[in-house]
Amino acid sequence: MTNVEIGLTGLAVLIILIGLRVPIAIALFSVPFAGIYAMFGWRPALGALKVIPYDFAASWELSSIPMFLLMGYLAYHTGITAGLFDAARVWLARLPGGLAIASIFGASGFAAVTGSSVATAAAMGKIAVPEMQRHGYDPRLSTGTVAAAGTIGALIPPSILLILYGIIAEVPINKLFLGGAGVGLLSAFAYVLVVIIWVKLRPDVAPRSDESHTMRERLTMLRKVLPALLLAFMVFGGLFAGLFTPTEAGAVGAALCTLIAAGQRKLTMRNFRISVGEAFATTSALLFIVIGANLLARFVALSGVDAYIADVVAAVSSSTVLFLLGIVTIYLVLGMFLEPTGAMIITLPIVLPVASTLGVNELWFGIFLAKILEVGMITPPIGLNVFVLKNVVDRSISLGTIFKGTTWFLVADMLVLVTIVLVPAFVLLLPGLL
Amino acid sequence: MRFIVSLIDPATFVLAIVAGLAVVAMMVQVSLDVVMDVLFGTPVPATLTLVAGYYMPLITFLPLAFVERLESHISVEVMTQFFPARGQKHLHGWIFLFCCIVCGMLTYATWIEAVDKFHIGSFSIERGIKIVNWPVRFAAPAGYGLLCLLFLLKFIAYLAGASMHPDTRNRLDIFKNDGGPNE
Amino acid sequence: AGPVVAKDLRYAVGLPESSYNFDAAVAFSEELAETTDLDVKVFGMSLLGLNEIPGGIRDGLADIGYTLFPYFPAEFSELNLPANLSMLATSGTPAQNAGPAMIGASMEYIMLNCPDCQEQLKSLNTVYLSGGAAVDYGLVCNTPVRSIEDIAGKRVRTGTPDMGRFIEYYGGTQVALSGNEIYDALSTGNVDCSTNSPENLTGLRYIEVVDSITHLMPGSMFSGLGTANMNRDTWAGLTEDERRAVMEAGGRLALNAWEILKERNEAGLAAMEDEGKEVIQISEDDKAKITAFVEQDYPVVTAQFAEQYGLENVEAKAEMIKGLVEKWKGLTNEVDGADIQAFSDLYVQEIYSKIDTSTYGLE
Ligand code: NA
Ligand code: NA
Repeated sequence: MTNVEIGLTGLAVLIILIGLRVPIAIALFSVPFAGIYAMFGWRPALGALKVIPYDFAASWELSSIPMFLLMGYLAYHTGITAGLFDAARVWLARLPGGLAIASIFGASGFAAVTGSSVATAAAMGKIAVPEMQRHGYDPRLSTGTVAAAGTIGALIPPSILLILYGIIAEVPINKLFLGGAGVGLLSAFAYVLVVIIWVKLRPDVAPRSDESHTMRERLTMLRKVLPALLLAFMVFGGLFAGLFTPTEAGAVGAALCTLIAAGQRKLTMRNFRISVGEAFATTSALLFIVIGANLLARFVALSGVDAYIADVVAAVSSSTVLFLLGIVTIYLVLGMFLEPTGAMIITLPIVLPVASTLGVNELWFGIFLAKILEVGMITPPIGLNVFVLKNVVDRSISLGTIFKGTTWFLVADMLVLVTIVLVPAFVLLLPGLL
Repeated sequence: MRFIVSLIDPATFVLAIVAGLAVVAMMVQVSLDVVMDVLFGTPVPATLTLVAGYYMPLITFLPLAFVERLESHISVEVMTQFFPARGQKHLHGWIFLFCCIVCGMLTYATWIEAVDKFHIGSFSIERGIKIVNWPVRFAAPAGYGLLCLLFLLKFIAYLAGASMHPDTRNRLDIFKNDGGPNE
Repeated sequence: AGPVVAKDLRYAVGLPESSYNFDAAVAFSEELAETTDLDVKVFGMSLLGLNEIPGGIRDGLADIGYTLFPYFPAEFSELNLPANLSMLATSGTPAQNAGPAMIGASMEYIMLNCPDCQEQLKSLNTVYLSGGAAVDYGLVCNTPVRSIEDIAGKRVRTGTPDMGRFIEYYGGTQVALSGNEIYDALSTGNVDCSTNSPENLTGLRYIEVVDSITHLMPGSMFSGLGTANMNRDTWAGLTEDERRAVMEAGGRLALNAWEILKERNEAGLAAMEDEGKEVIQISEDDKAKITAFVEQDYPVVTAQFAEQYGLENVEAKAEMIKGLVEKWKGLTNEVDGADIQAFSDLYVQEIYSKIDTSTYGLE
């Protein structure tokens, strides 16, 4: 077998293993190991296991994941977020799917702090999903909303993905950030529409509150929101004032959350312990998969499958439209298996030259790419946002339910992609003002 | 099976406790670092190195068996739900063996690397301070190794016809959540 | 002898394809394609990250790789000593071409005069074939540093320990940040300055978020590099002619990288001026102060390598490096700055011709 054949076989075996209910992380570790063994022998295969998992985990940037998770769990278990959602319920009672819409806005705010969509999905999953469950929302709606809204995390700045693109493609990062903000907001808007339409068509998925509230009640509710607002204000404020970096924001946020809860006398040894336990267990389960996915990306690069797929696409793309269609296809396929940074690193060197030959605007292309790659976060079989949600929400909600919940949001994502192809101004307008 | 699992649960518990301490230490140190830096211009020494080289590996690797005890390692149940129940049970049992082998490889590989780093005496240097980091290398084989053992026990339980999902109340429960927010 | 079959080799750069190191690696691959039957495939970041490269080379995931020694203070403790003394090349006796001088001194030290280095490389299943130098570090700032006194009170991110000590010596605070965070940190004002080559202004796009660069403050370089570290088994599998070709191409790889960097540094400074941002030139007064710093820093380095890195005979090793730096300043000062071939000839004459390719990296 040629290396490309080994690579393609490996991907097929991976799908079978996952289909047979092998834990995803185990499947992700086994395929690259066997594949590298088949291509280069025992020592490189073992070497990949010796070097990559540890060096990947020993990372300062990844530390934002346990910290944002801890903040999310603490906010949830100490009831800080419950206040927020009580208020949202009272204020948005008349709006169909009000809580789901509130979580999309919440996720957009969170996205502005974290550089990654996983961290956004993790924190919002813990904060928003249980509250929606409590108010009788269909689990498909509640989890689908948050999984999709999480993808905004890597579009709205700061974004590790866009920084990486800017450096590789030599495009101004601050312009990418503005373009990303535009598409992030467009996506948020599209998700809100999905929620509204979904709830209009099937009112039972989001029971509307029949309570009526006096203005006085509403204002009282606002007081319950103060701790959450204080937390958000301090985290955002500190970030924009340059007091700490996005990575540090998670830790500072968790610490502030602890202090606020203690100040409200809602912090107990028990809820602190449980929050810590859930933070490390979720981090560990998630990174087990992410490291496996990272290993898979090396295998894909070593086997040359990435170049092979790109060649096939380049051969059929004689026009810009065909090229973009090809790109969407490649990245939807790659996005099924790879996480966005891995997919970007291995494919950009191949795809970028074709794009510039065809005269595609590189700034626009970066945002377009980031958007498709983020779509991969919620597509099966490897949808990291969906996995992280599976881990943070009630265990009665199955993975299938969450994937089903994301379906309509995927449709919205496709429409967003079409929109930015037809009206590039959604991407280019804000950066143009710079 | 309950008996066998009770043999390794203490180890699972100890590793989970260490991971928990790492989470708390990370939160405290990074926050202190920010506060000291903003107020006095003197950041806490070696924060970046400790977070990347100590806390993150501990949090990543040590809880792996704990997560498996809670059955929170993620898998997809789309296809197999159409299999007959008996077939599902056998498939499930043999998958434990597969998992055990993969984790065994990971344990072996990371163990060799950890021993190698121990002999080298690996360390890092941040702002002139030397921080020895080889001990944390052993978190990887410890985490993978215990997970490997747990999968092996589950496979043995399958062969013996015992329950593969022993759920006994034990000390692991201190990290478990059994309800909503406690307001 | 069997039929001639092209040998496929994998070179891991660990940096984006837009980096100058990648361009230099491609030139290295092209040269070997012409002179040998070796087919070198160059990988950017997709094969191995910078922190994975030595392990990847050791186990044969990559055959050749770009290795940053300071990332691995224990593993490459011996090779880090010349790297930590690289300010010797940019201070004291004037050097017209500090980069090629330091590369030459490092290579002569590591390949011909440091059995402990070779022992260490062997334990990592690695052969060292060439050095490297990222030159002309300055202070990239969002609050300008116009003279050395302005460093006091500034929060500065530094890439190497010697520059870190320089900042603290003049009253600044070293801030520890990972490379990915520098852009954001400069943008929010979390740090005031970062020590970088002017190339990074455009290459890493810092130009978008900073107001000034203090060129050549401290003017130091990053020389803890093995630009063509090779897996020993791969090396052993080459013919002697191939070994010599790879080795000498490695030296040119280091020089090409240096030359491309010099050009990009010029372009980075020009871009700053085009943007109407400040390019501050360092004064003679400050140059003297940098030399004073380097002199008092020398015993600090030797003490650190004896106590923390655990090296033996540090004094003797450092003295030898110091002597080699002086020697190479003299040799390279004779060469016109643009003449890569002349530098390459010097490396062959002084170093590579003295290497026995039937034994080097094999026993
Ligand atoms: Na973001
Ligand atoms: Na996916």
